[in-house]
Amino acid sequence: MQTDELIARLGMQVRALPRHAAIKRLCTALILGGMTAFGLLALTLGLRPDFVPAAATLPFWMKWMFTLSLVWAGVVVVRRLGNPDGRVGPAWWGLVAPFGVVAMMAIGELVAAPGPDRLGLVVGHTASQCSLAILSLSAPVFVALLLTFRRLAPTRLRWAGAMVGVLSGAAGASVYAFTCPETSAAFMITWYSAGILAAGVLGAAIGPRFLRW
Amino acid sequence: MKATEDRLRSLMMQGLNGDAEAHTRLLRELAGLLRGFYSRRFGGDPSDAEDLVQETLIAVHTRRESYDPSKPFTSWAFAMARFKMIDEFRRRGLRPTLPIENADDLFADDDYEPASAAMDLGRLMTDLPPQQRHAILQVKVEGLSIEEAAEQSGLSPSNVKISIHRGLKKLMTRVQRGEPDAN
Repeated sequence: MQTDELIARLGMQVRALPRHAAIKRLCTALILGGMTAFGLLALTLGLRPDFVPAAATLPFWMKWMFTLSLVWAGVVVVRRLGNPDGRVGPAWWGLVAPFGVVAMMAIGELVAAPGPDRLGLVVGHTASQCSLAILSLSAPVFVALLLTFRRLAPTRLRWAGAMVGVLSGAAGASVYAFTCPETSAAFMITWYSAGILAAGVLGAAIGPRFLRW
Repeated sequence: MKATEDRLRSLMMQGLNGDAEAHTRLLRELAGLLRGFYSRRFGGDPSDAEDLVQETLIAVHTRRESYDPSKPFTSWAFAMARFKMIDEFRRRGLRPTLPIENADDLFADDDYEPASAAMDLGRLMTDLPPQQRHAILQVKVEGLSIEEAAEQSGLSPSNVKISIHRGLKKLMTRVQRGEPDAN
């Protein structure tokens, strides 16, 4: 096809874009993927039985503060990696900071606890399922986010894949928190982080194949 | 280039607001710029360049959500163009090469006063290896043929060619890095 003809055709399909269209699309994908993940959770593990009474305690909310702050920073980072210049800048810190804060809290807990209790703080009662469940719940979010990238233009594909992974891991962890009965920061920094980072590694591994354009 | 950036950016913004005519004009202007961009880098086959021009235009059109209006438009569009180009090199299994013939862009002779051009050239070339610097000066500045230069410097003609090629490539990257409107 001649270039002029191509331009004329492309010019026929122009619609107005809302402001921050990319961020909005990413958030829509997060919500749709997150709802699917929530459906999966409800069908398999179900909500924690003590959901209502637990909502009055601090650790219950701490988990969401951790995972949702990662989601928030992740959206910004992923958006920037969807721009062809690929510059992320200080937004990286938004992803690092929550891990730092929870790690400090975990160290505080472990130092304050008597020796024999320390292992229990890290392992809790559900360590065997946590990371894998988070990784599985991240899958629908990951797919939804990848579809969004058909409208974006990543040039650092490995990084974009990794950060789409981390973001969907953080979203998966936010969903998993509905069922998770654990209360310690030491548990969270170990098993939540493992699930989220595993999603990131997986995203880095398979992302470039789907993100190429 | 500032004027180009401002004009294209405002066309882009109008396009984002749904103005089809501005969008079409944007693509048309961009097509010209991209044609220059790719043919400078591929040298040879104009039809290859045209394929890439079209692919980039389609990307600019379908992926315009990725544009962040707080950043310059041309750097966004050319970041896409570069990505397409690298992708093309990868597909062909080649590394980018810069044909010597096109290096004449470097020595803009009509836009600048000769004296300042000579100064710039001198400054740029100071840290090239001596063999490359000589070869470039002999052939590109003094206008000797490859054979004459080879005879004068005692190198083989292919050696002279390689020196010029490597030297120009270095200069080219240096100039491009210092050029604000390329990014």
